[in-house]
Amino acid sequence: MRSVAVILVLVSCSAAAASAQQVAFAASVGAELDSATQAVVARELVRARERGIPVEPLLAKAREGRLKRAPGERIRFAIVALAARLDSARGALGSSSTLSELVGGADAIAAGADVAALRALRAATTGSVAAPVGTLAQLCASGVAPKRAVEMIVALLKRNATPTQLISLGNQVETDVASGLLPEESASVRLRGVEASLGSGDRVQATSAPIFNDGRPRTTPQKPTRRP
Amino acid sequence: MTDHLDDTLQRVVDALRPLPDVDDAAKARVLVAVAAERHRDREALPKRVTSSPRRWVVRAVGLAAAAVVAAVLLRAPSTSKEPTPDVAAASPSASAPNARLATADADKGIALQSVQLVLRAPAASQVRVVGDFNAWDGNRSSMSRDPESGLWTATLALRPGRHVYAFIVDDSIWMRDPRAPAAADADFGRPGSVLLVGRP
Repeated sequence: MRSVAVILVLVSCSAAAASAQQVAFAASVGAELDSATQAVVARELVRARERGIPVEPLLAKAREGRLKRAPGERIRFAIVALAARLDSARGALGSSSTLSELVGGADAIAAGADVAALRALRAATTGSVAAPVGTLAQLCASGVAPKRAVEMIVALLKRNATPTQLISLGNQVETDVASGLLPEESASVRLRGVEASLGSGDRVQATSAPIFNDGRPRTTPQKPTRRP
Repeated sequence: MTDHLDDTLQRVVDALRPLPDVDDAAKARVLVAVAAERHRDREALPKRVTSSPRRWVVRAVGLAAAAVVAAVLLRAPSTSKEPTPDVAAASPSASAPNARLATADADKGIALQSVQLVLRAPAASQVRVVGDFNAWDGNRSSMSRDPESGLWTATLALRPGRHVYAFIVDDSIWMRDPRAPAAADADFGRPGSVLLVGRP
């Protein structure tokens, strides 16, 4: 019984401390914002907390805007838009989603994915979708069509690809595209690379169209092998 | 004779007292190792808990009660629908939790990686690095000047993935990393730099 009392006191203190820290952080962010922006930030924080959305990303966005000396209007717009994306991500990924999952989901929506894409990723795995939604955001931002990106990630999740492999895929495609490759061809080639590291098994359907080194899809039929 | 010994002893103590120099890369390796150790500890925790059913009950009751207390505490300020600019105008006193680092440990199989950022800014008297990894809080990532090269450097433990960052020189100049690709900024129109962690 004494243990319960001790835990209660400790958690009460930590919850109060966390709340105080949050308020202090909000204060530090708001100190250099104009009054209209402060009001919007405060309102969005209250709304977010009521809806179970994490407030840390909103505060970070306000801080980013302040550091970049953005006009108050742009900061207000960015915060409201981010809150909406986080809300959509939470609706698609579920109320028990972690901060990483929601931030990744919001990033994916900003990059062009829709809530159906997030739901597809949530349904494809019982584990954390932080890496899958982060990869989705990265692939979409790199120019891969959202539908294609979801197909790739779902297929890899079904083959038990690790978060590290998914993250590497996103990083590779972004690097390829930055160096001049087309998004789709990079995605196909890099997907095959991940598949190869996953070992034997059914190939993902999305990779069935092979690509030559020059990036053109194979159009000529393969010569049939001669039987003995 | 005693004085002579005391002097010798004092010289030995003086010689041993200064701590050896530790470079930033070594510090980062230690940080990453500690993070990994904590991650392993957390994974091992359920095994210890299951060995004592009584602890389970105590902790479950404690957590349930804690949830009620936390809900009450966190809900209290949200009862007001009006904005609270007075709160936002208070003086800064604490920093935010690092969202990405705080959650990185929760993602199984993802270990933090040590990354060193370098900037040449010989005229600067202070350089900070800001980015999504520190919630854009420059107070938490000061860079240090390498005494030999004069380069500003910071070593961070980051989770794999894509990060956006920039440097703040002398508390006033926003500066992209000239050696990293630019990150478009749809919100504020001021690009940062892209850092990809976890490339094979």
